[in-house]
Amino acid sequence: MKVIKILAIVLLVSASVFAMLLPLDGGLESNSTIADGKLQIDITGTNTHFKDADEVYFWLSTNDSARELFCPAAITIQDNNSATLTFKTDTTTKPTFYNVFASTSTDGTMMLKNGVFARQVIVSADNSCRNPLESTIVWKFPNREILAESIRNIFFHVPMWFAMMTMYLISMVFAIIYLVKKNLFADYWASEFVNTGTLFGILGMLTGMVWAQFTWGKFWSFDIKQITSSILLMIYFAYIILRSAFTDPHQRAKLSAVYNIFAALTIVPLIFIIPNSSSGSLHPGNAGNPAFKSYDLDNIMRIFFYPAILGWIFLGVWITYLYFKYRTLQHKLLSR
Amino acid sequence: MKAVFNLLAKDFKIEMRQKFAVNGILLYVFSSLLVVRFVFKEVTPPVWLSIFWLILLFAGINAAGKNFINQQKDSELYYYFLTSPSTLFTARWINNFLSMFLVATVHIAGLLVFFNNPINNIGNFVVAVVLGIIGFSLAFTLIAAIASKAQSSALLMSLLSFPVVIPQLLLLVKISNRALIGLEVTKSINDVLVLSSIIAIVGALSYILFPLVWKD
Repeated sequence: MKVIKILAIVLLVSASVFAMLLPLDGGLESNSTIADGKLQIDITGTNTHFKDADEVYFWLSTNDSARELFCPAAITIQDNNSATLTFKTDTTTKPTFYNVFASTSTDGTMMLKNGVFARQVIVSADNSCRNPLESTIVWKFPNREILAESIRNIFFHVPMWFAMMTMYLISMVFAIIYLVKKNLFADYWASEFVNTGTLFGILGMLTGMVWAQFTWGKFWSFDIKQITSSILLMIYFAYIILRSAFTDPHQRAKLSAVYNIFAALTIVPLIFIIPNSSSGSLHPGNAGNPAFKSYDLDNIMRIFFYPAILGWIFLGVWITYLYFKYRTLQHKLLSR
Repeated sequence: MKAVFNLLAKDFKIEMRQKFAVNGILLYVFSSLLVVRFVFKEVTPPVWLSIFWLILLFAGINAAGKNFINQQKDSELYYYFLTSPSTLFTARWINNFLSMFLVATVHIAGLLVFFNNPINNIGNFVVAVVLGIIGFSLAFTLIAAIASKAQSSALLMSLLSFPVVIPQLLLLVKISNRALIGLEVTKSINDVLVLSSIIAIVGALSYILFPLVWKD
């Protein structure tokens, strides 16, 4: 138990501190104006080093398969996070979208997809402005569209569900142990693991709702996974109510153990099968959406993601252990 | 097998004498439909479907609850001496299945009389309904056995069974929705397979766990 406590503290504190403190990759925002045949783009960067970096390059490219390249006629850098580019334009052709690129020796290459909508930009003579550099900062998280800083929530929202699932599975194991051995202590473990698991479930729901408000625009949008996970929580609320309906401890233990096994087996269709086979979901990894694994969870994030999962699980075991000890003391006092 | 049949015959005889359970459930379905008819003058297919499954679900919960909860405490002990738990489970399940089948038939007939007929592929719809009744009755048989041990069993019955059958219900709604649009069963074969495997798991689990619940 002591090992679990120490591991819980060390893993959780380190993972959470790094998750909150590591900087994000550089990101770009643009604002463009056209005046007398000149396109002026004001670029605002986040976590960028336009001024401090040794080398800085800017260029535009079209979004079609041709990938034509356009170099700015003039660059003025105000500070680390803002720069102004000037391009000459041709008024006769129709306007299109352009991707904006910035590359510095500190931040590496950054892209703003469809950042500018303008008339045809005149191709400059030399193409030397395109120079994709590698970043020199190793410890940083990726900067994704829509997610931005909220990507840090992956260290809190996702581990909650892992911890909940683990608590419920351990609880099911104790329910089986009770049915085989008829030992009331196994029942105490089972019920306390369900309580802790439900706590993690509620926290997972709340962190998810905050994240959904930022990325999807609504706290609750009746996404299929939101529905199924709230049903899962309802099943375990029913378990808690079922326990309170009996006064005889052995009868309560037996019947709730049976319901517990029943409930644990509905996790698989609810969380894994139905969301994956359904036709529309906003969650990554469901209904044909790419999973976080494939593109968002890079190696730096993995270093903190897995410890965070283990840390929350160990914390859950610790909380359950405290409640179990409380229940055992109560049991001893009552049976004296 | 003979024991299962005898238990069913016994339940049937009691039902014939009292005429309480079936009549009560039928009245429940009829009055719910009447209320729905007052509220909605005309219904779109999705509303028709949700009315159908909602009333079937709650009527089924009531029907399954009645079978167990009306038993007297001593008669449980009596059956325990006479038969094995698995025999009793099978008899109860068939009983629940038949009463839910009756409810579903009357319910569909009532919906067709009160409202229009939105079903465009009858075969697909029948598959969904039969699968639904099998799955619901399997889950309800175990839950009713758990709930009958408590003081306020009728409340506990609906409380425990509602979340447990929702996974099945989500898939059933998908399959039957395709039936309303007019698609063949082959279009939703994946969902039917997933649903069948869920029903198989629920059935096996109820069968294994029932002996543990039944003994006091």
